[in-house]
Amino acid sequence: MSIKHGLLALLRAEPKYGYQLRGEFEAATGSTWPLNIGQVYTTLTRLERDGFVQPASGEGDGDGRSRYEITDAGRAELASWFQTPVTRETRPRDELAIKLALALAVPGVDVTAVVQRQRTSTMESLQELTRLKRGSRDGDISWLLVLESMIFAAEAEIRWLDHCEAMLARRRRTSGTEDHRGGTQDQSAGTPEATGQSQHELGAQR
Amino acid sequence: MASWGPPLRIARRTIRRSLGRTLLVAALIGVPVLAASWIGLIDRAANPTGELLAKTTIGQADARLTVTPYSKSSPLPERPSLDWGEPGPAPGIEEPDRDPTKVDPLTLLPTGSKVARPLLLGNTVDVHGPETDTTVGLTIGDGQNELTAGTFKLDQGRMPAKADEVAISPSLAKYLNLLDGGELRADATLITAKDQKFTVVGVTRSLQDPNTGTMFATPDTPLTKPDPATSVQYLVDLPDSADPDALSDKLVGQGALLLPRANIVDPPPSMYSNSQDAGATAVMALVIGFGILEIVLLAGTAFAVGARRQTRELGLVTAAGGTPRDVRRVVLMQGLFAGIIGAGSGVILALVAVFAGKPLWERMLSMVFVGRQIPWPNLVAVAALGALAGLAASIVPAISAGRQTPMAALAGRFTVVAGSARLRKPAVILLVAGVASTLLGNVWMAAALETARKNAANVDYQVTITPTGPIAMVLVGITASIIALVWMLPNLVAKTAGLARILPLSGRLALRDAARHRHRTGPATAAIMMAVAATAAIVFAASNAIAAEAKDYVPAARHGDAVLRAEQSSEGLMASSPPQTQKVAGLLPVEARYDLGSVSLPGAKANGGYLPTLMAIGPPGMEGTVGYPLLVIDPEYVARFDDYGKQAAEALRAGKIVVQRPEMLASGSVKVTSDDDYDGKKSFGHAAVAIAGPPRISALQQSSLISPEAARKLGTVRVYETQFELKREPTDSELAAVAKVLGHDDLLTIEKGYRSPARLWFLGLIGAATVVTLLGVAISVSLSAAEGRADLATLAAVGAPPRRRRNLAAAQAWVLGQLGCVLGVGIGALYGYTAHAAFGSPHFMVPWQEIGGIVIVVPLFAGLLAWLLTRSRLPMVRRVD
Amino acid sequence: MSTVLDIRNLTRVHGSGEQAVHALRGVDLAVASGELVAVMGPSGSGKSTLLTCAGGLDQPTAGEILIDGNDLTTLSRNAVAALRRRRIGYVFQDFNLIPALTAVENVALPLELDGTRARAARKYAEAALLEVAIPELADRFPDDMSGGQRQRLAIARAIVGERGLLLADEPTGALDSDTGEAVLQLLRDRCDQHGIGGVLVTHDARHAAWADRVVYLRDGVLVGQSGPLPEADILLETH
Repeated sequence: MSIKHGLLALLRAEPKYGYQLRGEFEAATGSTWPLNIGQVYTTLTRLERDGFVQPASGEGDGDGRSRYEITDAGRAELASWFQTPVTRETRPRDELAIKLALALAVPGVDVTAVVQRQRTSTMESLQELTRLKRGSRDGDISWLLVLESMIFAAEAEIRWLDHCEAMLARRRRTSGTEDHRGGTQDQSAGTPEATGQSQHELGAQR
Repeated sequence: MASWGPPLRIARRTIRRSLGRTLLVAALIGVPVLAASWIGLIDRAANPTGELLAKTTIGQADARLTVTPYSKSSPLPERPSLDWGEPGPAPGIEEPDRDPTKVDPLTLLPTGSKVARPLLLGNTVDVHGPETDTTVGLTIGDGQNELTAGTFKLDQGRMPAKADEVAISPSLAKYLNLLDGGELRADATLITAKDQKFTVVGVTRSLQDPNTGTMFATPDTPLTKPDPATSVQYLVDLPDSADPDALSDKLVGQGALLLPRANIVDPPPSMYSNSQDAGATAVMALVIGFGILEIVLLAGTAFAVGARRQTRELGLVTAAGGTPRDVRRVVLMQGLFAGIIGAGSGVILALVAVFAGKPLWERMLSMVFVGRQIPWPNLVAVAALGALAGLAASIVPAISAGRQTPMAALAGRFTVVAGSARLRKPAVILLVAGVASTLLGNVWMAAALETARKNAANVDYQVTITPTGPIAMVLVGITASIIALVWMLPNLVAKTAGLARILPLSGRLALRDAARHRHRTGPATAAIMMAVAATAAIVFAASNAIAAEAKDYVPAARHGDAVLRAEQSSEGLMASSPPQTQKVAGLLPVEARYDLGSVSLPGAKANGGYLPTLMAIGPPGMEGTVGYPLLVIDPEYVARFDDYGKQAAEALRAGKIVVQRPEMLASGSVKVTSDDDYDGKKSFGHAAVAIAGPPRISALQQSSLISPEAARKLGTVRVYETQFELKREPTDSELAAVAKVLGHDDLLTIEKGYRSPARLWFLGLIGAATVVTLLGVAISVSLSAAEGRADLATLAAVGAPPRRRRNLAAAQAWVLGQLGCVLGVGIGALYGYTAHAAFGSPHFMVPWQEIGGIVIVVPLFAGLLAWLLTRSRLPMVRRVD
Repeated sequence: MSTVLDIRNLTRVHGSGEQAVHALRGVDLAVASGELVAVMGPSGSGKSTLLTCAGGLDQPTAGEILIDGNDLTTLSRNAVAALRRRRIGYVFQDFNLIPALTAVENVALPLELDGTRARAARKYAEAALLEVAIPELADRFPDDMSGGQRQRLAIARAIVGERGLLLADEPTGALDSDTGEAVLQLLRDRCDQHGIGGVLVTHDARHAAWADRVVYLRDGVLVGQSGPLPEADILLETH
């Protein structure tokens, strides 16, 4: 998560005002990553402290705000950022996974309902993202890339939820069978796809 | 993996998995094999060889001795065998010079020999039956002698031992009501028409003709007198020291022939046996060849579909490193397996059927199976042919399966080259050459026919020709045409798809589908074509033969009259019994009765069963016919025939003979003589007139006429035929009553003009063609249904009503049937055109009705069948398993 | 907006007794014109059965299927067939094109089956091919086409004429994701611009997201839906 590097990248071409940076940032990443102007200036102050940017020479815009420009150290930092791949460990912990884990651990919570509610919500954002994608068929490519990244993330989350659900279902069926038959029948538990076998297809074989 | 293991395994599994199709192929091969094996087995059972043959012909004897009525005979050109008759008289001897029955056979044989008379069918005897008398065959021989054992089949009792005893055949016993619950009555007797009484001592059958009414009697029976001019046969038991061959040579000079048993068991080489007509063999081979081709085509259709459905599996074989050869082997092995299953079960079923159903076959074919000889070489040959047919049926599908690219095969895609169907040039050339050869052969034949007709201009019988050269040319031409058509049919079917554009939806789909699947529709159509060609050829041949026959038909009486022919009496003379004729006349609505007879000189003696009759000597210089027999006829009969009739009747009433040709008359008189007077030495003149143009009545055509009064002055009149002019057509019950009086139902006929035997016949033929056509169509349609199920489901899914799918199947069946029928009739016509010359038909008869029936009705019927067989309820969704 | 498809209490049981398999247990689903509804669920959840029943290809054990207000379950087979060729367009995962017919003839098939004259049917079919952007393939045979082209062809067949309901069973299943998206775009446009009601069966969330509404099937029961009109009671339903 690096607004810092994002601002550095935007400053690479030419010196810019803070509000200008905010606008361009949102344009590039879509409105999916909203940024308030305070965040921008806080970050810029921090960058100036580290010596990656400096106020640009020349006059301000009259409101006392000045343009910032990138320093050589800033360029070096930006280059190393682009060159370093994002590792999975560097990402923040997933709240959803923790929530589900806790839901399972705490008695009295309907985990399936939690999964379904989460899926409904994720699907709604996925639908929204798809709508955005459809709306910007010829939009600029960086925006689409970011959109796709989010679509893939949402899709992955839904698939993960599907998988969780399937695991839960199997688990429930296994324990249910054990309750019923005293744990002697393992084979039936091993065939969770029993209903899956009965799928109906139309003239699939040609 | 260039080995046989995996292909064999896959082939075996596939056969088990698609059992229906395998059984279809096996049945296609098995049924003809069954039929051929059955015929072979029955033929061998009826015509045994070797020891069995010896047993059935000469029983337990060492040899058969024939004593001829000549004291000296000329030697046979070869060693004696069953094929040889008896030796002719030695040079110089013209007439029989001894009574062979008086010759003691033992004097001809070494001491210690024993003889017995074999059972031989001789004369006939009239026997009193429960209702009317019946004529039965008389078999005479020493049935009690052990030497004859094996030459007959004794069912009950024993063979006759004394002159007043007889044994009878089962059918005669049944007719005479001598059986009591299947057992012969103890006091059974038989009375002949001459009131001779015999005790029936047994029920027995001859091996040759077990089902007819036959009596078995001892040689000294009073029923018949031995004919001194006929040879006598003996079965001989020779002492061990005798050499039959040497004895045989010795006896030839003494007017006797000894046939040793060894010569029956193992016939000596002969220059006359085994010589067969090469032409007949060629035609036979051609017929069998076409039969096998037909089977191969039908089975090939099934294989084509099998290979098609196996495409993916075969693709996997290729993907796993198999070569096209391995793929071919998989398909070929299936063909061979199916062939072996079909041929093997065909032979086994034939064996079981023949031996289990022995009594049935014996009754149906009226013969006795004496032993269980199995013609193994023939059976093995037939079975091998069947297995090879299975292999042959899979060759083309195997080759095309081997040609599949692995990618297409894996995708389950069957490469279809739609729209690029070109007829192969060699096939077209072959077709053109074949038709040309047939036509040339016909031109040649027509020329030969013209010559033959010219040469025989003044001969009345029909000219027929069967010259070898042109016929061979025609056969080669037809064969070439068929091969060419079979070759090009798949592409021809594809060609017809070009018409699809203009057709309604069902037709378009059907045609396109047929073209797409030409690997199966091609052979199916070819099979239909060949079946129809055979039928059409027979229809053409039959209608031309019938046309030739109809042209020559001369009615026996005026249209609508009844004709009563006299029965052949036991003396071989034709004469009717007046009381019987009277009885018949009483049963029919008779308007007038006319007797037709012959006249013999008083005191004429029968010679060899034939009583000479009088005839008018023909004009001088006429060869072939010596004269026109005198027909004794009522002038009233003749008077009914217009101009000729009036003149002739007048002449007859005047006591004159009526002849046809004026050249026969010399100053108002014709020469009459007995027809055994070849030189006309005893001829005498009789007043006569010549009236030309007798009506087309067979009796009047080749006769000279005389009235009964005039005839009685010349000699004895013998009526051999009576014609009744009827008031109306007799009813069936009247005819049945007449038949009962006469004992036969074919002695009285009603003249109805030429009755073509063809109606039923043709219907049967068209039925047969329809069956084979439908078989072809049914196979093709059912396979196409199996193959096209997905398409039908799709059609249903996009909203085709159930009826539409049936229409589709019907349309395809109709298209294939139509194409096959049209081509088949074309081939049949090629043959038919040849047949018209061969049968001497007046002109090329085209049986339009029958051909039309084949061309129009058969395909429609096929379509209807497909329509009926197609399930309109189709499972559109199916469970994936 | 009117309701094009209204499924009420749909139940489908395969087999009977011990071996009975409940593919659907009382499913309710309504699709309005102009609306694209995605049905999501794992294999065996009954989503394909739902679609085949809706298309009149399969007979439900119980329940009602109303298309334009007519209950499919009470209609004769012929009437259902007529409905299929006039009102319902069906798109299959494996295309189900007739190999013996050219592209344009495949598209014209429902019209011709309905008695439209060949020439007129061809004109409509060509228009439909233009809509799915493959007019140049009109006289090709399906076997000569790529997967994407075949699916476009199948969609053209499903939209030709005056269809009110478009049923698509995993239409993108045999296609890569890019080609699949193009096919979804086609379906979406069809619903948006022609007021057709669409049902899209898929197990792929990314594809389901193209729909206005996504419903979830689990073991033959609807367990939830995402979209503009969430119904709280369905969301909370568990089994």
